[in-house]
Amino acid sequence: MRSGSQVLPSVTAQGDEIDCRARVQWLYRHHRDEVYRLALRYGRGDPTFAEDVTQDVFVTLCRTIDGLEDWNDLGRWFYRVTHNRCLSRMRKSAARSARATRWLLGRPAEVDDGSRALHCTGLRQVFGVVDTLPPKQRIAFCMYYIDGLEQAEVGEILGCSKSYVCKLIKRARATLAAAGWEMTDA
Amino acid sequence: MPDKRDLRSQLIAADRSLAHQRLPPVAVQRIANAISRELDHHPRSRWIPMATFVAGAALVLVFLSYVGGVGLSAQDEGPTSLALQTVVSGADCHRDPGEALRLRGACEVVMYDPGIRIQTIARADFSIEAQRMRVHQGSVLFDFDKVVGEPIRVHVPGGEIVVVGTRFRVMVDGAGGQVDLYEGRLEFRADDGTRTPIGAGQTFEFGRAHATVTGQPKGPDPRPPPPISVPAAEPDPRSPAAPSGARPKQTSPRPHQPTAQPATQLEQPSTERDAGALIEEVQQLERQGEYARAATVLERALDLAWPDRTGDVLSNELGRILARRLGDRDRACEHWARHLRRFPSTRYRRQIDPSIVTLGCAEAEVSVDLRQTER
Repeated sequence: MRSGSQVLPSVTAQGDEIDCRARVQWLYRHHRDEVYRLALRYGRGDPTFAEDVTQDVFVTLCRTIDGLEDWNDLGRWFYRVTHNRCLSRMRKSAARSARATRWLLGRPAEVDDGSRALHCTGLRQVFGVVDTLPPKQRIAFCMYYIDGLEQAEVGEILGCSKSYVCKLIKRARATLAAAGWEMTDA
Repeated sequence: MPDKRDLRSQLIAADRSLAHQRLPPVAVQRIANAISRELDHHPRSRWIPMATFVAGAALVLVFLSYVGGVGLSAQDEGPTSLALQTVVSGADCHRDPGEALRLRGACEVVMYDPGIRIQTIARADFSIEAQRMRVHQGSVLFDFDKVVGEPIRVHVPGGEIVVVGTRFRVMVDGAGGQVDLYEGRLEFRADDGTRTPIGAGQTFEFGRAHATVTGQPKGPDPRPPPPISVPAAEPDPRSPAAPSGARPKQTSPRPHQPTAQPATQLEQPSTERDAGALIEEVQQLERQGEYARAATVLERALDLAWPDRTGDVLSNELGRILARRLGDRDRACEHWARHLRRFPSTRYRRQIDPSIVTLGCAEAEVSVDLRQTER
């Protein structure tokens, strides 16, 4: 997610400083689709999941906008916050659907609604493979193999050390290899 | 079974397949509302503007007195000039001097209230003045947030495009051009008064002498297709004759014949859900004050095959709009007469009879049954 090509204006054509609301609106217009697409990846194409994450991200923006420093490089900020929001929701979802939790709350198992998943069966299967990984492993794995980030960068975004990221990726690869999948290095 | 070799390339390909996805328009608005609520309730958002106002009170008063009270805030009341709320950027963008904003070249224009983003392609000629925009030449891409209140108008050769919230591209080449609609809805109002609705995925050509063809869907549209689409056909004989050089090329279907566009929801309407969607669309148009357009939508819908019960509902809606909203006595009387012939057992007799009396429809215009009930 890159915002370098989108320069957030600090003043209008008439030279008046743009207020906080206008800045947020500008950022919302320019980044909402990128955030949405990223959230779709981790939500297996579920638009409800992606929309909720998008809302979380921009509400967070509203709360932290005063502390942001570099207005013209917010792509990284959105990338980081979107991943963290996805991770948070995936963890909550995993906790809710755990057998013990369902037994405690008296809820049946959630049925995978095929209409919410990716329209193409092949895509669904591919993402379904990664979906079997624990949330943090899944995110680290995707950031490393799909987005091409270095392990140190992944660690910086997730708030953990490079060595821990290395461990997460190794575990993910081992899980996938055990299921018969092969991985080429990034 | 999926190919289990090289998961990485498959994941990347799967991820790329999401590249065309965009936040659905309904979600765009919902999240925008959530952002607005957050900004309104966040403690910081209260005292910062207040502090700024106290510090700059004198300067603001001078500024307002100079420009006549026009500002950037979304809370300003009364009409505000579009030209004063714009931010213009672009390496190859040239701005003509003057009060109106006239741009040439490759520019990006961002407006905040309402939220609009405009991109002009190289060699485009585009201007904004007061509440109007005009494409003089070239290709311009528009992306509007939902417009509340007075619609925004984009003037082109041969008419104007009325916008209530949508994403589209306008291309002007000499005396004509076309508009490609990607999302939302538009209406083209020709200089002769003809109005043509344009649905998402369609292309409408304006300002040229030769006949136009409706476009095919250009790409994935997150919204469902419009219930009524406009196929290529002869000009609608009900519309006034256009003077030469200003004839709208987009055409409407022959009267009392079904539309030719395939694969729309209402080509073979038979379900309550289709009627429900249509009623919702009509109500939306009424909320926007677009009564003539609402009537047109219903008139075309009534050309299609409906169960009697549903047709009765739709026809009654049309009569109500003609009589009460548009105040078109002749059309309303004619319609009520048709309605009573087509639906002799209509459920809306108690509403229709007083309407006929109020309108003063001649006895010959209405059903014999009415005269019998008046005795």
